[in-house]
Amino acid sequence: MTAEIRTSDGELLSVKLKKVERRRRTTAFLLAAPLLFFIVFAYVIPIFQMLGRSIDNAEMNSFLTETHEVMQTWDGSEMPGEDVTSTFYYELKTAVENKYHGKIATRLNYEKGGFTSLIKKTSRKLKNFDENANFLDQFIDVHKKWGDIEYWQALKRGTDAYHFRKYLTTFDYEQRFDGSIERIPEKLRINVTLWLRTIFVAVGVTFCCFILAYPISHLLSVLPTRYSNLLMICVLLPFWTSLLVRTSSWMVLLQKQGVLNDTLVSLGFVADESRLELMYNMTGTFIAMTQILLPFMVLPLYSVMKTISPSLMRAATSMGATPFHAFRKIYFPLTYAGISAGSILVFVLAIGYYITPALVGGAKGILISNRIAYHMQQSLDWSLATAMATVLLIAVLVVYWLYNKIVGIDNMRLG
Amino acid sequence: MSRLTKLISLAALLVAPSMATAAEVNVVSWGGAYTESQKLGYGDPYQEMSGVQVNWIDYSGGLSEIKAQVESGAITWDIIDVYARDTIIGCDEGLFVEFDFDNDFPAGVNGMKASDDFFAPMPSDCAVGNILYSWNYAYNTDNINFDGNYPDSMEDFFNPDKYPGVRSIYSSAMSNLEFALVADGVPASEVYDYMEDNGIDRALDKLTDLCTNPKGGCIFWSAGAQPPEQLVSGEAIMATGWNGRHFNAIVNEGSPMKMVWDGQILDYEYFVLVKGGPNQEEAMKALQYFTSSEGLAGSAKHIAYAPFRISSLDVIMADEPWFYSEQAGAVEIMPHMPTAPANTENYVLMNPEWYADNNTEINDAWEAWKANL
Amino acid sequence: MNSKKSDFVKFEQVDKSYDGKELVVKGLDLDIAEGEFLTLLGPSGSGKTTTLMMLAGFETPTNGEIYFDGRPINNIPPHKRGIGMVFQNYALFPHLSVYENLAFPLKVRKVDKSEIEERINKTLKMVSLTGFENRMPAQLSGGQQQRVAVARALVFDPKLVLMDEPLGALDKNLRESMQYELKHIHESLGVTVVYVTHDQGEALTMSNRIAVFNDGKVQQLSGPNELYETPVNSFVASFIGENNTFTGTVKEIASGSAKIETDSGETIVANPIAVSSSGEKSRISLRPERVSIDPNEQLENKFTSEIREIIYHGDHTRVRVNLLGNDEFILKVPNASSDLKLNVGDKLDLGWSSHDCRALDY
Ligand SMILES: Nc1ncnc2c1ncn2[C@@H]1O[C@H](COP(=O)(O)OP(=O)(O)O)[C@@H](O)[C@H]1O
Ligand SMILES: [Mg+2]
Repeated sequence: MTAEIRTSDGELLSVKLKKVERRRRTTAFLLAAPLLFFIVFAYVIPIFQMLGRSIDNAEMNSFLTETHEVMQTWDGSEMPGEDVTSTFYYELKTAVENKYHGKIATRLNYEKGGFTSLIKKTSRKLKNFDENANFLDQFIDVHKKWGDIEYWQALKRGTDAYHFRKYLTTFDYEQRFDGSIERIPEKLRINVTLWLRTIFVAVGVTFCCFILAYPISHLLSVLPTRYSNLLMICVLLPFWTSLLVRTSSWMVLLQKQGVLNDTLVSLGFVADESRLELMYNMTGTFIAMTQILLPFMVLPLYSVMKTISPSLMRAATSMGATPFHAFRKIYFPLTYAGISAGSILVFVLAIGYYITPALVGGAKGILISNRIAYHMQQSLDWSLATAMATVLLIAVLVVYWLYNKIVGIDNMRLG
Repeated sequence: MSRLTKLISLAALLVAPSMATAAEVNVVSWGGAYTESQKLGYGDPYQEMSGVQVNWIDYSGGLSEIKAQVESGAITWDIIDVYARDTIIGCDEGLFVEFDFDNDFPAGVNGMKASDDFFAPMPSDCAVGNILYSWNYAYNTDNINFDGNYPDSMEDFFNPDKYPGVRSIYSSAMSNLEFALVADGVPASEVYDYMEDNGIDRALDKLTDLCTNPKGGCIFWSAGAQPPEQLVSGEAIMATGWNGRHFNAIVNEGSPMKMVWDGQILDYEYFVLVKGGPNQEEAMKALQYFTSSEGLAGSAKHIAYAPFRISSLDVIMADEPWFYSEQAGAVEIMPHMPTAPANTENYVLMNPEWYADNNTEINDAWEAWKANL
Repeated sequence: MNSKKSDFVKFEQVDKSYDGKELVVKGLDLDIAEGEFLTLLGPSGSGKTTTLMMLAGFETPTNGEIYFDGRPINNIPPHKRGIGMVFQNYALFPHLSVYENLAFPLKVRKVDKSEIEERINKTLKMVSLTGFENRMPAQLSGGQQQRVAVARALVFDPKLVLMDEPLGALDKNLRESMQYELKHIHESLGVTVVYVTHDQGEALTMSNRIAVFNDGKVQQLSGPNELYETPVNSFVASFIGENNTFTGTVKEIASGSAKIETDSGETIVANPIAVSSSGEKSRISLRPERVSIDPNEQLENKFTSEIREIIYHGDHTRVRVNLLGNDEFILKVPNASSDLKLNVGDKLDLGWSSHDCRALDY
């Protein structure tokens, strides 16, 4: 063992070092603290709230607590007894008095179609009920659907405090009351189509961006600064234009009587009666999204290309490589970091886009994020919206994970 | 609603500039020519008369926005112009004020009490009638595809082989299902009976035929001003829409368009009063004026929608030509009303209850259909 | 050596302009012999790199023609010229290992695998880098990277290798040892080398011939010692080695000697190199080591100076004196003559032969 080393003021070296290091770490932490704090409150907590909401049904459970409780002893194989029906009657009556039966109807309708009208009709007739007679019979009198055991099963299930069924809906599956999991009827399937379309659009747009951005970035990296700045402004212009201005300019440009079609017709490339459909279809979606996301591909590519010395290509050609061979073997591999960073950026942004594609792409521009927005804003089925958002989030994380596996996150160059 | 959102809304309220100086009422409607007719017809007159400022806000229908306002506790809307369906849903969910109809609304100028003076009973306790309008379709008369041979029925709208070109249709299910069934041969008066019985699928199949036909194709509109624009720009050869908007484009803008009155859907439009709105009392007074005989007649001066009160029609007929605009001058408006005899030969009467009761199923089927197009 | 061509590379009236306003290279005529180590030496911006790039094919001459091995090459693209090149920043491919870097030119030429390996081993041995095959460029020191760059330029046996300031980024010791290595490689392979540098020491050490560039023109093309001993104009004289100058006017001129009156009014007897008639202005150049202190021999020029500064340099001492109005006149005093006592302000008698004192252009 060597003797303990001490600093010149007599302290143990290891202790002193720790002290100095701690001060440095504290400073570093304090510098990062505001951002950390912000991220936790603006990002981490909301994400966990979102995860929670996707399985949370507590409100519904609180509306019909007692019904839910008595139904626990009911096995669902035959029609429920009076204990269940009477409890439900009284709780529904309270709901009608307090005007939240609409919410009950909406929520139960997620479990089984037809519940909205069932609850509403029942609510209207509730005041005519004889509280001393058989409740089940009276329910069936009001609406024959109450005679269908599936509605009672849906009621039992629909008042669970939490459940994971929204995740099945996310992929167009449903859980039957016997517990089996099946695909929903073909005509109602929507989400899988949209997931696939979203991935297709995201991959396609990433590819289009790559094809367009590569030569532009190269040009930017070799032009003298005064020209490259001008070109960079052109590339970044979409960043500085408001969404509405951009969208309306696409309309002017792309519609049937738009600038592009007019030009093609007057040049004689297309006949007047067969003008190109550039909007309200996939073409429109691709054009719009590619334009918006192009800078996210250009910037990382540019920053990588800027660091590639022109003498490398010269060296390669001086050794006898044709310009193409030199590009393929030397220049292109050196831009991998930029390509992958740009691609992942564009891809991740593309799968989250929704306003632009829907405006320019019409029905074909509806992507999974439009569905999330639809459930957030229109149907108000926030559980489903958050379940879908969670799946989207996981998809993005998987992409990052794959990226890290294949390329390594350290190799990413964002410009 | 979480405490966090409450705090945020509170903060937003504190930050918002305080404008509590003069009394005001926030009225939400569908924008464009329609809101303009309401503003000129009764908004401005009321503001002048009472000194209460009437603010007009545009939206594109539905209850999601007001629900979100209620959820977050920051209600900013007072009066909303809504579909019948939404008066029912909103009333059931306690979003709107329930009226004591004959006490809350004045008798007509003809002396009839309010509940008699209005054409039809209200679909819910929270609704007060506003206009009758029609969903119909119009076409671009300049489009070369017609070649002198113009459509005149709902069947023609769904026949792209005969009339090739893109159709513009409403972005929600409402109106499209009805049109499709009528075009498929269902008598206009029985449309909703068929709906209960596999009618949605049948309607969607018909729409699929139209929208996937290479000679046809569909684009979707969501704001009332869009269909005439799309017709004029050539994006669509035919477009469904609201008759008042078509009328406005033809008369005021001189657009080369013509409406087809066959299989159209006659629908009622209502006002509701938001429960707990920022100016609920002032709003009630404004609403009383808006829906008075003169008020409702006033909006018909600027758009081809029929007032909901019988007495308003009397006011109009006594003073024809009633409609006036700078571009068109004075025009006799009664023949252009959705209720005019010539315009009600074969029509569907909107069934808001069916929509209210089956809202989710209809929307799910519709959205899935649209996404898989 | 006899069979080797004396005009292996030939520049014929080559002009180059980048911007259409200024000629960067002006009327360049230059023959490079096969197997020669020729250095382009000149200050920064004098057009050396441009000349090299025209030869490599990365720039096209604006006018004139370049011949390589007898063929005009203006229209041959760089990859078909078969010229090896070493760049100042080495230009090693950062994503390829040392082995792959060296294999690149061979693979392009479709050499078979076994031969590639053989040649790479041989070349790496030559630059003493055996065992570094699998290193990536970033894992090598500057000197090692430099050797890889040289190896890569040589591995495909080009007949001509161009080097653009290849040692510029190395520290002094490494640079000197690399100079010898490069010289040895050149000697053992017999390859023709065109070498660019702005460092005269490097040029003098390594080259067979040196072309001194200034302002887009070759000022003098000759062997190292000739360049040092007999500069043909005042630019070369001042650029190569240390140099004391006087300016003056020619008073009398005869064969092998001229009398020149300096601006301070004294008369110096000088060797007329670039002056031909009396009345001409001239700049007189005199190497410090050719000046004798306290001269006792018979010298045409003898003057007294006053010491201004003494700088000790180890093996010698530099003394700055005022002579004939020139305050920057430098003397080099070998430290063997340590008996000499020098103090600032002392008077010192100086003298030199008229032969060593060259009357050049003004
Ligand atoms: N690609 C270029 N475009 C324009 N001017 C250039 C370019 N390369 C060099 N020059 C100019 O040509 C002159 C000679 O440059 P260069 O041949 O690189 O000199 P050196 O290598 O002797 O330092 C310089 O004035 C330089 O600014
Ligand atoms: Mg240079």
